[in-house]
Amino acid sequence: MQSTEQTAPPEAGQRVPALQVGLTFLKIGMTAFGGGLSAHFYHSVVESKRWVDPRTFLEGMVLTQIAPGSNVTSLAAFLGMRMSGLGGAILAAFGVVVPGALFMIAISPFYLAFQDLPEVNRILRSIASVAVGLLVAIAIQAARDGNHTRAGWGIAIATAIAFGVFRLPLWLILLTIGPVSVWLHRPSAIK
Amino acid sequence: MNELINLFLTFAKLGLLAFGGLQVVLGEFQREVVDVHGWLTNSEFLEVYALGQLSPGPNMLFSILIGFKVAGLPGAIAAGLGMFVPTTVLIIVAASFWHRLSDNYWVQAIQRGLVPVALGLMFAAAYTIGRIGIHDARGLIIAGAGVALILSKRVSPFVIILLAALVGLVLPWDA
Repeated sequence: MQSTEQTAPPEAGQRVPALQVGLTFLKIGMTAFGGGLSAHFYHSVVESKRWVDPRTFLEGMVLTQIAPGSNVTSLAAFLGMRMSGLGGAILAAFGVVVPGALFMIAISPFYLAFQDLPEVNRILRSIASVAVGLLVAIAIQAARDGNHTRAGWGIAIATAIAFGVFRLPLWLILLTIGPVSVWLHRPSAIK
Repeated sequence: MNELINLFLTFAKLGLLAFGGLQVVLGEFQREVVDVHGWLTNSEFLEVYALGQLSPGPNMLFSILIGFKVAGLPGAIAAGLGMFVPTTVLIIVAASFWHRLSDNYWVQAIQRGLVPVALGLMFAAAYTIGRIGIHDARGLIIAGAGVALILSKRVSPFVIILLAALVGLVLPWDA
């Protein structure tokens, strides 16, 4: 098992002990505030430890963007699976989720006890307002950076109206507008 | 017990519908949590969402705070399990047969096709959440400052939320 020694980092594709995978993701889960976890994953398991090759990482990004759920948790599970099988997948997902989950559980009683205090209320209203700003900014970035086709804009506007104005449930939108959009964006229709 | 099952199932459903990240499905979260179940008021929903952005790890962790509010620690656990377990199981299964599929024709079509749907949902979320989250000129100014800071790409969302908290504390809300 010389592959686990510090001096000889395992080649990408070799099996890594599940516990080591879990601890690596736990460290990221504890320290990565404010999003951008996938960049931390990349830096750690592709660049620094070289447990995963860039191509596999990209495959994981593609899969987890299509698949539902928390993208970073899914990506951790996918990478864990590739690095050391089922045990690695479970421990990686755990490592990413558990620190934040404990943090949320720890602040919950304080939130409930003090949310109506005037000072706390002012803080909460202020961060709620800025949260709206973050959402708007993310939507603007997605609109600018997406390189959208005319059909894409049509789909986006139809989706926004169906969900924002008519308040149709998301599953209904995914089952109706979704397939139309996938058909319009099939590779042979675009090139 | 019924409430716990309800929490688990609701968040499992939200998790299984959540593609493209939290911003895409935040409107659906609000619809389920506020409109359908009445677990939180609109402003509580926004507060909890913003607090969730201060936590390390996945941004969907604010589900746990919602669960806690509904049914204490067991509620937090039920919501967290619902949010993360079904989709993680799904990805583990998918990872077992997902080999070099990103070149596949239909996988590419799905990947590209979901982008505009996600964009539309982000607009809808910004609109819905904006309507419930902005009550006055001060709220509008804070939101506008948030947009400008994010688009400048110099300040992280985490820092922006901390700044907003400070502004809220220092400046009296009602002028």
